Amino acid sequence: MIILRIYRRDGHYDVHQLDIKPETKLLTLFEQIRTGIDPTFAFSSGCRHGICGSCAVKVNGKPVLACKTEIGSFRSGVLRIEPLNSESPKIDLLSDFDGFYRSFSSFPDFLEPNGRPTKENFLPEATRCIQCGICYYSCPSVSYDKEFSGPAAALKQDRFLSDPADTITESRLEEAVGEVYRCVKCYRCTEYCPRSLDPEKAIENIRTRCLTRKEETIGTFHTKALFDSIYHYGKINETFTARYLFGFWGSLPLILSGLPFLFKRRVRLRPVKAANLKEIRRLLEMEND
Amino acid sequence: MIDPIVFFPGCMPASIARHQYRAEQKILKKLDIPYHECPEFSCCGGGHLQDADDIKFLALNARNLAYAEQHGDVLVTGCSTCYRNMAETAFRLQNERLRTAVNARLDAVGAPEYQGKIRIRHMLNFLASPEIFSLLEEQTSSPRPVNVLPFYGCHIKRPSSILPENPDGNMEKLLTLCGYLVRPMRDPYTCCGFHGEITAPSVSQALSAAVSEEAVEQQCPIIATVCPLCSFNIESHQMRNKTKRKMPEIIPFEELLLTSLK
Amino acid sequence: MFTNLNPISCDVLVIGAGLAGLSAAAEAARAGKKTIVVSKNHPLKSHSAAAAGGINAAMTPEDAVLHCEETITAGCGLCDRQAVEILCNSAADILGKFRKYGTPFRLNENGEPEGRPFGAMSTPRTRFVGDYTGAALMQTAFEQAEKAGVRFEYDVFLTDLIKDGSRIAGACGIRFRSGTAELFSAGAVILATGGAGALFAVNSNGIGSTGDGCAMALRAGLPLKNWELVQFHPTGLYPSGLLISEAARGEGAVLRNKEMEAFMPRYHEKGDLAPRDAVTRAILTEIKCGRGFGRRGDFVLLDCRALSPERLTERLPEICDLTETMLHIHPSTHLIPVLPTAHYFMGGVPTDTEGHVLDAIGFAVPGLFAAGECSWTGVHGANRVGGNSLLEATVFGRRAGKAAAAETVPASPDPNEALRTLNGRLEPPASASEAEETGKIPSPLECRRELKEILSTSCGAVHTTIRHKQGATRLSLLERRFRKYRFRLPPERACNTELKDWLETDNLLLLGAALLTAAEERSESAGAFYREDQIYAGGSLYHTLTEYRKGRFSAERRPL
Ligand SMILES: Cc1cc2nc3c(=O)[nH]c(=O)nc-3n(C[C@H](O)[C@H](O)[C@H](O)COP(=O)(O)OP(=O)(O)OC[C@H]3O[C@@H](n4cnc5c(N)ncnc54)[C@H](O)[C@@H]3O)c2cc1C
Ligand code: SF4
Ligand code: SF4
Ligand code: FES
Repeated sequence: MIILRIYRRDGHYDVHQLDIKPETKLLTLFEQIRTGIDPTFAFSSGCRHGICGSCAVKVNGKPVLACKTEIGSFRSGVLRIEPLNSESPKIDLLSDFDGFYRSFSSFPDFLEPNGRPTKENFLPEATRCIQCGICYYSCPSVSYDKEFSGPAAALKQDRFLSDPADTITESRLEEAVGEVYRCVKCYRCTEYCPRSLDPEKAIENIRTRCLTRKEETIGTFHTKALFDSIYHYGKINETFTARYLFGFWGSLPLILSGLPFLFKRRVRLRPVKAANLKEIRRLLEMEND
Repeated sequence: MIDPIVFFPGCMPASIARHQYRAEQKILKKLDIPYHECPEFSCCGGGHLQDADDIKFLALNARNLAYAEQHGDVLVTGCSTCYRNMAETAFRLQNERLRTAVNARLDAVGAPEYQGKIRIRHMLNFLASPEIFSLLEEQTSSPRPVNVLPFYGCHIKRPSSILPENPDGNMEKLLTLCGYLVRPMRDPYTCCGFHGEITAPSVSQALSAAVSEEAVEQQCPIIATVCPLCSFNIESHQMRNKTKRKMPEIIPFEELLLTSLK
Repeated sequence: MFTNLNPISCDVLVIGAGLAGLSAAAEAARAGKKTIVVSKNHPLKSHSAAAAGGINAAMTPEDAVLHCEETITAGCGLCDRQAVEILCNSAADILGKFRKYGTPFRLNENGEPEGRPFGAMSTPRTRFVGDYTGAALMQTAFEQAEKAGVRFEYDVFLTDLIKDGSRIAGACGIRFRSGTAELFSAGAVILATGGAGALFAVNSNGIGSTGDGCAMALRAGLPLKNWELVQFHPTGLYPSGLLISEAARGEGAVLRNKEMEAFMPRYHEKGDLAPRDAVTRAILTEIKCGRGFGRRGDFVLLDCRALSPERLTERLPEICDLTETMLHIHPSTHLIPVLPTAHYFMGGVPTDTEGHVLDAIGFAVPGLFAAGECSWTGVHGANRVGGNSLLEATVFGRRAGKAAAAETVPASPDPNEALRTLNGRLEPPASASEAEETGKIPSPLECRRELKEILSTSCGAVHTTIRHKQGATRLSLLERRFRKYRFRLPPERACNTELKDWLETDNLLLLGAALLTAAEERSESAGAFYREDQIYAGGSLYHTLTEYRKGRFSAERRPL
C-alpha cells in the first residue's frame, strides 16, 4: 500500500491510497489518475522513457524523471509529489521553465565554426543532456543568485569551449568567467542528473580555462592563491591566502575577525608545513602534456 | 582491539579548527583505536585545486593515499571535503590508464606508488559503524537533553556515485546515543556555501544563514556539523551579521560525542 | 468560451518545431523573413529528439544512385522518383552542414562520418551519434534557428488553420500556460507537426504525436494522401512498444523465436536487416504459428549478446538504458522481448517537391506548405527505409522554408472568423442530444485509450475489410459518447490539461476515421500495408486520397 500526496493547483495536496505494483512508474500512475480519476490533473510528459526531459517532478524533495522512477524505489511509503520548480506559480505538477530555457541564452549558444569540421571523434557529454531542468532547479546558487546561468548552461558552454572547431574561445571565456565562479560546489547537479552527466566537472573545466586569461578576477585569483599556498606549505594556510587575495592591509580585517577563534584556542599560529614538501612542489610544477 | 587506522585531519582542523582536531584525537584515544598521522600529508586541494589543474589534483591526492597505504588499510578523515576529494581520486584512479599516468608522476618526484587499496572513510561513518558504535555504547554517560540540529552538508553525501558510504542517519544514531534530542532537519544535506565564500559571497551568506535560521526555528541551541568547513562558514557568517537574537552554537559532532564519553 | 484573440503577425508561421519545422524556419529567417515557430511544447522536446538510429546519407554520387534505387525498391513502387532523387542527392550536403555546425557524428579513421548498416540497404550509410542521433541533430538545428533570428512560441497548442479568402493566412490556438486564445496571422504557413503514432495502443511515438497538423488540414477541406500506409517497426519493447532502434540489428543483433532459432534468414535474403515490413510480418507469422514467447506467446526475442558490452555502451547506450529502466535487464546478458510497434506514417498532407500543399485536384493551396512526417512527399512509398525520415525532414523542411519565404503575401485573416472557429470546436454539436442513450461518457484520455484499442484491432499491421467495418462502427459509437463530454474547467483556465487532451483526442478521432476509410479503399497489399483478404496478388499501384467534407469521409484512388 502506497500513499501519494500530490500537489494541486490551489496549494492543497490530493491524497491517493493505492494498491499498486512497486515497479509501476510514476508517470504511468499519473496517466492513470488523469485517465480515470481526474481529467484536470496537469503534469507534462513526452517520450515515456527518459529522453525528452519533460516529466521532472520532486518526490519527497528529490528531483526525478517520472517516467524512469519506480514507485517502490523510495524508502518511505508516503510519497509527497511536487512540481520541480518551487519558485514560479505552480499548477499541479507543472511549473514555469522559462528561467531555465533562458539560461542558455546567456552566451552564444551555437558553434562558431572555422569551416573545417574536425577529423577526430569528439563526443561531448552535453549532447546527451535532455534539458530536463533538474540540475538548474536544484542548484542553490541559481535560487539565490538570479544572474547565474546554472549547471546545464555550463555543460553546454564547456561543450563549445572544448570543440576543436570553435573559434570564439576568448569571448566565450570572457562571458564564462563571470558565471562559473558563482557555483558553490554542492554537487547537486551531478548527483541528480538523470542522464548521469557531470555539470560540476564542466564548471571545473571552464574554471581551468579561465586561468589562461590575462585579466584576473576574484575567481581566478582565489584559485591561484590556494594553489600557491599549497605550493609554499603543502597545506592551505588561511592567513597566507587572505594576504595573497587582499594584500596586507586589505586582509587585516579578515584576519582580525579570526581573533575570537584564537581566544577559543582553536588557532595554531605557527604554520605547519608538510614533510617532504619538495615532492609536493615538484608535483605542482610538473608540465602537463 | 580495533585495527589501526590512518588519520587524515585535513588542513583546517590542524590549523584553525583545532577544537575539532583535539576532539577527534581524544575520541580515538579513549576508544583505544591506534592511529597514525603521516607528516607527509598535504592538502587535498580544498575543493579548488581541481579548478586549477585536474591531473595535479589527482596526483596530490594519490600521493596522500599512497603514504597512507604504507601505514594501514583504512584512512579516516573528519573533513567532508577531504573525504570527497580523496574518494573522487580513488574512484577515478580505478581506471588503469589514469592510475599509471598518475603513478608515473609520483614516481618522478620520489613519492610512493598508489595501489588503489586503501579504504577511505569519513569520521562520522567510521564512528557510526557497528564495531565502533558498540564500543561507544559501553562508554557513553550523562545524557544531555538538549535540542540539536544535525547538519550534514554536501560533500559527505554527494556525488553519491563516487562516494563509498551513505551517511544517512549516522549523526542521529550517534547523538541520540549521547542523549541529545536530535531534531529532523528539513534538508540536512543542503549546502553551507563555503566553497563560494570568496567568489559568490551573497549565495554563501544566504546558505549559511538558512541553516542558522532553521536551528532558531526548531529551537535548537546547537547545530552539529560533520565538516570543519561547514562549521567555519556558518559561524563566521553569524559573527559578521550580528543580530540581537541568540544564535545557535555550531559544534563539531566529535566534540558533542566527546563530552558524553566516560 | 473565448471572447477575444491575441493577435500576433509574422511573415512565415511554422507549426511544429521538430527537425522539419526548425529546418524550414531557419531557412525562412535567413531569407530575411520574420519567422515564428509555434510548438505545443519546447522545441527540444519535439519527437524528432527521440529518433535514435541515424540519418541516411550517401557520401559519393555513386552511392547516392544506389541509395535512390534501394529507397524505391523498398517503397514497393509507390515512391515518387523525382522526390527520391532530390532526397538522396541532397544528403551529403545536408550532412556537411550539420557537421560544420557541430553535430558530433561518429567518424571513421579517415575522419568522415561512419556509416552503420540499416534495414533494406546494401551499403552502411546511416550516419549516427551514438543512438541519440535525433537529439544531436535537434540541438544543432535549434541553435542554428535561434542564431538565424527565429522567434519561438512554445507551449502553444494550435487548433485550426485560418483562411483569408482562398488563401491560408494563419492559425489559431490556445497558449497553454496562460489559457489565452491566440491568432497567428502569416504570409505563409508551414505545417510540420509530425506523425500520429498515438492512434495505436502499442506505438513507439511520444505522447504528443497526435497528428494535429493532419487533422487541421482535413478540417480545412484538404486531403490526406496514402494515410493508410502506416509502418510497424519490428522491434518495439514488450509490452509498451517503446522503440528498440534498428541500429541494434544494424550492429549485429538477431531476432529469435521460442525455439531460439534465428528465424529471419528463412523469410528474407537480407536476414535481420530485411525491410521493416518484411521483418514485422515475419515476427507476426512466428507469433501466429505459436513460436512466440511468453504466457500468451505474443512476443519474440532480440539477441544482442553477440555484441561486446563495450560496443553496446559505446554505440547503443540508450538501448541499454531503456531495457535497464524498463525491464531491469542488460542486453549484453539478457535477450530483449520485442513486438511490432506502430512507428511511422508514410502518408500525410500531399506536397510537391517544394513543399507546396496540394489539394484534391493537385493544385497548390495558396499560402500553405508542409514538411516532415505530417507531409507526403513521395519519398517513402509504401514502406519507409529506416534513417530516411530524418533526412526527409531536413531536406524538404529546408525546401519548404525557402519556397515559403519567397512566396509570402501580406494577409489579414478575420479575427472574428478565427474566434468562431475556435469556439466552434468546443461547442457540442447539435446532434448530441442529451436524451440519446450512449453509455458512459469517457474522459478524454479514456476515450483515447478506447480509440487506440479499436484501431489496433481493426487497422493494425494486418488488414481485412471485415475488421475495417467493425472498427468504423465502434469508432462512430465512441465518437458520439466523446462529444457529450462536459468540461470540468472553463476553457480559458491556465494550463488546462483537460482541454488540451480533449482537443488532441478530437483530432485523433478524426484521423482514426480517416485511417479506416483510406484502408478500406486500398484493396491490395502494398509494402507496409498488408491485406489478409486480398483477392488477387498484384501490386496495388495507386495512391489514395482521403477527404473530410461536411462530416463525411471519402476516399478515392489516384494513379501514380
Ligand atoms: C522512437 C523513434 C525513433 C526514430 N528513429 C529514427 C531514425 O533513427 N532515423 C530516422 O530517419 N527517423 C527516425 N524516426 C522517425 C523520425 O524521428 C520522425 O519521422 C521525424 O522526427 C519527424 O519529424 P517532424 O519534424 O516531422 O515532427 P516532430 O519531430 O514530431 O515534431 C512535431 C512538432 O510539432 C509540434 N506540434 C504538433 N502538434 C502541434 C499543435 N497542435 N500545435 C503546435 N505545435 C504542434 C510539436 O510540438 C513538435 O514540435 C524515429 C521515430 C521514432 C518514433
Ligand atoms: S555544484 Fe555548483 S552548479 Fe552544481 S548545483 Fe551546486 S552550486 Fe549549482
Ligand atoms: S545536465 Fe542533466 S540534469 Fe541538467 S538539464 Fe541536462 S540532463 Fe537535466
Ligand atoms: S517523458 Fe520524456 S523524459 Fe520522461
